[in-house]
Formats: sequence, structure tokens, C-alpha cells
Amino acid sequence: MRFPVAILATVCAVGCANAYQSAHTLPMGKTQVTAALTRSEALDLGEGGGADSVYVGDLQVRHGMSDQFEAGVRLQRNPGIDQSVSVLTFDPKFSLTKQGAKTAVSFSLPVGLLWAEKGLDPSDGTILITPSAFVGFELSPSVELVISPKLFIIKPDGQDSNSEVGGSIGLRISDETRTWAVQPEIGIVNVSEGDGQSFLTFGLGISAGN
Amino acid sequence: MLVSAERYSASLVLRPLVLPRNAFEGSALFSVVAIAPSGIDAFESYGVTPRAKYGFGSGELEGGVGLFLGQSVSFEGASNPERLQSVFVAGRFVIAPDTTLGAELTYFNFAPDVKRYAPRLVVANKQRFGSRSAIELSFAGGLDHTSIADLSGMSSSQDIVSGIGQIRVQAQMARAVALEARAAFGLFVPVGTDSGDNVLGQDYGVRMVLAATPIVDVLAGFDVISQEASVKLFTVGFAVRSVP
Repeated sequence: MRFPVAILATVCAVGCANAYQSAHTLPMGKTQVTAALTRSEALDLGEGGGADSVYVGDLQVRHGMSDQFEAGVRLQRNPGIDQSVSVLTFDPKFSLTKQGAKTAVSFSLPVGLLWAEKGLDPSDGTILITPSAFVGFELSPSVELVISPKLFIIKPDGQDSNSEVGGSIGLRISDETRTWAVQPEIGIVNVSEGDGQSFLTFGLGISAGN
Repeated sequence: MLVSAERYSASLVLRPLVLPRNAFEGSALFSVVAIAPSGIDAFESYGVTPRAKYGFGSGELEGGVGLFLGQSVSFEGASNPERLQSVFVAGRFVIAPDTTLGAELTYFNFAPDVKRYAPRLVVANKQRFGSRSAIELSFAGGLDHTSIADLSGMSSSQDIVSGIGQIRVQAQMARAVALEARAAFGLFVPVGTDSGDNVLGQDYGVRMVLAATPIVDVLAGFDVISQEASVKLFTVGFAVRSVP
């Protein structure tokens, strides 16, 4: 099985558009688990357009290594059986602001491997690097507005790399304990491969941690 | 920090994995399954799943049925779905704090010519992070035995060994309102075929649990089962409890 580069680019960009993270890094020693579901829809379909929506499931575990450095592992796979596209990402995040700042700024450099599967046979290994910025504004003590622009660098095995742009904007609803969060987000991704296409994404992430 | 759940709570996060002794719970979930397989028109199937649970102190018993209510189209030449779609029984036992071992059996009565028995052993654990969040982990192993009868009355069967891991992430937004996201990953191994037929699958969902009164929960959920066939599940229902 060989997925066209345009499909791989679409899935990995759509899957990674939404972050489901705070712009703050986790305090040292804190761990958080996040599960999320994201739906995407193609924009500007033109005449006769009408594409199926794409869903991507998302599981992340993040840990505060210091008060300004957080490490994360993230797995995304489309729902279903037999044929899947997956992204497994190592996701370090660095904060430029201190814990508790009302406006938080951080950067992350997720490095991931994307692959397709039919049965248990993997194929189409693709490197995905997603430099991301996070800017968080405290709207109230329990609500943070998180804006996250991203660059997607996609390097399929044996093929030239290409870059796409996108980003997300969302709310992180929590409380002073920060042991939970509900994170509705929308995102937009432009995929230039193939005929070119933009995608609007919407998702909900739920986090639990100490 | 782990917080023990001493009593049954309005908070989903604080609830134990099984009902307390002599507690009883009845529930009904109404479902709409939206399916859009390639090649045929999209359609919806409607059902309801009444269930009952009883806590006996060191565990709980559960039983329920799945009932087919109707679907938005009828397929010419195909068997109509049976009204009684499934029967489910389970017993769960507390083997350590917030850890259970259970046995479950589901009989699926999809159509007059298609039946399935699905026994499972399930280990579950709940970890709380303070009083506002928790994760529930479970692992189920079992066998799906499916029998299919053809038009001549001959039947064939297929056995699939399965292992399914699931995580539920729970956030208690308010005392009576919780949101939960779940992800399940399964490995399915057909018996008697080569390893090339083994498959991995996964599905995801989100749901809300609203403790409307001390004894009534209102439940609403959305799950995406398959991207390929665009199978989506919408559920809404309630649970009513009696806790001594």
C-alpha cells in the first residue's frame, strides 16, 4: 500500500493542527494525560465539492521536567480497523515566561514519525517536524485563551520534503488546581501538495493530571 | 495524590469502579448510529440499551439488552435486523483498591443468520488526581465466535481472539458535571488464518455525565467508531440509582 503524498500531508497536518495544551509548561514533577477527538473539514471545495470529514483520535502524556521545560509523547490515529494512518511524536516544550504569568509564551519542537498501516503492515514512513509557538492569555483565573501558530515540515521516505502552515486557537478551561482541563479548539491548515486545500478543524481535548 | 472514594458520589471522578453494597442502578441509553459506507447511501440505525447493575460489596453484577428500534432505510434482499440485538451479562470483583477483575459475556443477535458470542476477561483500574480528575484504564481479552448461516441452511463460523486496551480521561468541571474522553485500541487475531490477517483497530469518544439529582444521571455521548465506513455513534440516556 502506498498513500499519495498529498493524503499523508493532509492527515499529518490535520492531525497536528490542534494542540490541546496550555501555553504554560507543567511545573516540575507534574504529569498530565490528555485524550482528544478532532474533526476536520475541507474548505473551498469549489464546484461539485463535498468531501468526507476526517476524524483523528489523540492521546498525549506530558511531564514537567523543570518549571520551564516539559516533555511529551503523543499518539494520533484515525478511528477504524484495518487501514490506519498514525503519528507518534516526541514533543518537548520550552517556556519563555514564568509559572503563573498572566500572559504565557512557549515554543515546542515536536518530532514525529507518521506511517500508514494495512493490517499490521506499516508503510509510507514519513518524518514530521512541527515547530509550534504558544501564546496564552489569562481571560479569568479558570480560562486561558491559547493561540498556537505552527509550521509543518513533512519528509516522506525517499521523497523531497515540503512545508505547510497552520495553527489553532482554543480555550483551556480549568481551575486553580490545574489537575484537569477541558480544551475546545479550532484550527486551520493549508496543504499545498496536490491541488492544494485548506482544512478547518474542530476538536475537544480533556486532560487529567496531578 | 490518590483519593479514596468512601461513598457513592455525585462526582464521576470520585465514584468507585463498582456500586456499593446493596446499591442498584438502572439505565437506558438511546443511540443513533450514523453510517456512510462507500458505495451506498448513508443511513441511520436507532436503538436503546437498558441495563441494570447491583452491588454486593466486593463487586457488582450487571445485565442488559440491546434493542433495535429501526433504521432510516431498508435494504432489499437483506435480512432485517433482529429486535433483540444483544444480551449482556457481567460480574466484576474488587481485587485491590480501585482495581477490578471482571468477566463479561455478550451475545449478539445481529440478524436471523448472523450470531456472535463474545466472552471477555476485563481488568480495570482507576487513578484519581485530587478530587477533580481521574483516569480509568482497562484491558480486556477474549474471543469473538461468529456463526453465519447461508441461504441453503449451511453455517460457517469464525473465531477472533481480541485484546483491547482503553483509557478514559475524566474531568470534573463542577460538582455534578463531568466530561470524559476515551480512546480504545484493539488487536484482533483471526484463528486459523495466517498472521497477515491480524488487524489493529481503535475508536474514540467523548461523553458528559450530569448528576441531575442525587440519584439520577443524565448521559450524552459521541463516538467515532470507523473512519473508513464513517460510523458515528450518538447516545443520550439516563441512569437511576438506589444507594442505601
